Amino acid sequence: MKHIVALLFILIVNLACDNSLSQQNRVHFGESFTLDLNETAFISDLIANNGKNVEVCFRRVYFDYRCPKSMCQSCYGSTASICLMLIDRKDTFSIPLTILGCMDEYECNDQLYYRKDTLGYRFSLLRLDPYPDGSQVNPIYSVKINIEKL
Amino acid sequence: MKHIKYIIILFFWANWLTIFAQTSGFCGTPSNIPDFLNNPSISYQTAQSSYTIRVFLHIMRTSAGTGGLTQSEVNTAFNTLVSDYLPYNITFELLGTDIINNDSYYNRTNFTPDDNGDGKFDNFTVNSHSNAIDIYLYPNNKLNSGLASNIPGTALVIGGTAFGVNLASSHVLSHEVGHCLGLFHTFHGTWLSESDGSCPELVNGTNGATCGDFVVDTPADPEPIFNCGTQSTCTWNCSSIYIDANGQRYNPDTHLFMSYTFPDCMNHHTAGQVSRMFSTIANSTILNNTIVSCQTTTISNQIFSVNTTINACKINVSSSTIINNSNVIFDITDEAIINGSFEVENGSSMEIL
Repeated sequence: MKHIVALLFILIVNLACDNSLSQQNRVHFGESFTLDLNETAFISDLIANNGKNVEVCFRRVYFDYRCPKSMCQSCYGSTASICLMLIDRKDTFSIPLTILGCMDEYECNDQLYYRKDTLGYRFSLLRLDPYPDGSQVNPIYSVKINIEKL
Repeated sequence: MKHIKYIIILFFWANWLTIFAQTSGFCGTPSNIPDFLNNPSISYQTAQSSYTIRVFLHIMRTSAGTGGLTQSEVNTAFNTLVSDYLPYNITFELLGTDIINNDSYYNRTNFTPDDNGDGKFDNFTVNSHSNAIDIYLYPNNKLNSGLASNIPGTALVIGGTAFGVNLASSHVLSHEVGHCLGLFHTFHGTWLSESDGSCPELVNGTNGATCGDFVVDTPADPEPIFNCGTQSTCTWNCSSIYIDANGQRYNPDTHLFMSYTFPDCMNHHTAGQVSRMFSTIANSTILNNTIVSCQTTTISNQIFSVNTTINACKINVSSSTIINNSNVIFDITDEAIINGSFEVENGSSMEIL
C-alpha cells in the first residue's frame, strides 16, 4: 500500500509540471531557442527580484493567417501573431509578436525579422511551426525566439 | 502487485501524453504559377484598347446573418477598385451582390488554388459565376489577407486588417484583382519565398521580361516593402542591405499595387503592367467570359487634374470637372453622353474622338 501511495504521488507531481522539460531550459541573450506552446525557458542572464531567473513563456497563438506556400504567389497579407509572456515572479509582461507568411525562418539581421523592442530588450520571432498547409486542424505550435539586450 | 503494475503503466502513459510530438515545418513544394504570356502553344491575340470586366460581390456573414462588412464598406470596396483601374481603361461592371450566411464559409481560412483551370478556388465555389470575377468579402476580423485563385484567375477572397487598414475596402483589393488579371508580385522570383522555378530580376532591368514579375518597367524588388519600410512616408529602408548579382543596390517602387507595400501607399500600376493585363485579358478564356461588350462607362464626380485619355465603347459623363490646364480625351467607339454638370476650367480642354 505504501508503495502504491508513493507511486501515485510521483505520478501526480509529474502531471502537474507542464514545464517539467523546461526546468533545465536555460537560455542566454543572443542565443536562439525553441519553445513549445506553454513551454517556459529561463533567461540565465536575467535575475528577477526574488533572485530567480526571469522566465519567458510561449503562451498562445492569437491567429495564424499565413497563406499556404502553394498560394504565396497570389496572396497579400499573410501573417501570424503570438504572445510571449515575460515572468519575473512579481510582474508579468505580455509581448505580442508577428511573423510574415511565405517564409520558413527569418535570418538574424537587423532588418530581416519581426521583433519588438521593449523593457530594454529585443524580442525576435524567427520562426513559427508548423507552417499551415491547409490540413492541420489543431496544430501543435512551436516558436523559435531570440532575445537580446538593447 | 497487480495494482503496482497498472500504476506503472499509467505512469508511463501519462508521461507520454505530456511529450508533444514535434511536427516539422511545412514541407510541401510550393507550386510555381507559370507565366501565362509565355506559353509557346498559344497564338496570342492583340488586346483591345479598353475592357469592362464583370465582378460579383459576395458578402460573407454568419449563419445567423450577423457580422461581415456593412453596405457602406462594400460600396467603398467597389468604388476603390473602379477608381484604381479607371486610369488604365479597365472598368468594372457590378453583375450583382449577394449575402452568404454560412458559419462554415464565414470561418473558412483554407482556400486551395485553381488547379482545374476554371479560374475559381478548387475547394470554394459557392455561388460562383463563370462570367464574372467572384469577389468574396470577409469581415474586418477574418483572414487578415487577400488571396486570388490563380494568375490569371476569376475569384478572390479578402478580409481582415493589416497596418491599421481594413483590407477589403482598401487598395489591396486592386492588388488581388491585379493577380486575377495576370500580374505577379513585383518581388516575384527575387524574394526568397517566391524564387522557386523563377529567376530574380536584375536592378538594371536587362532580364525584366523573362525574370521577376515579367514586366520590364517595374523596378527590381527584393522583398516585401513592409518588411523593412516606414508606413508614414512609404519608404523602404533596406537599400544598404540588398544588392543584386551585379552588385547594384535595389530601389523598388513603394507605391505599386503589386508590391507588398503598405495598403495606403499603393496608388498605381506601371504601363508595362497595364499592357500585361490587357494581353492577359485578351488571351485568357476564363477572363474573356467576364468581358462586357460595348459597355457604357459611367464617369461621375471625377476631377481630372492631369492629361487623361479614356478609351471606351460608350461613355456617360456627369458632375465632373477638368482643372489644372489638363486635356481630357474621350476616345469612343460608339456613343458619348456628356451631361450638363460637366465643367472645363479656363486653360483646360476636352476632346471627343
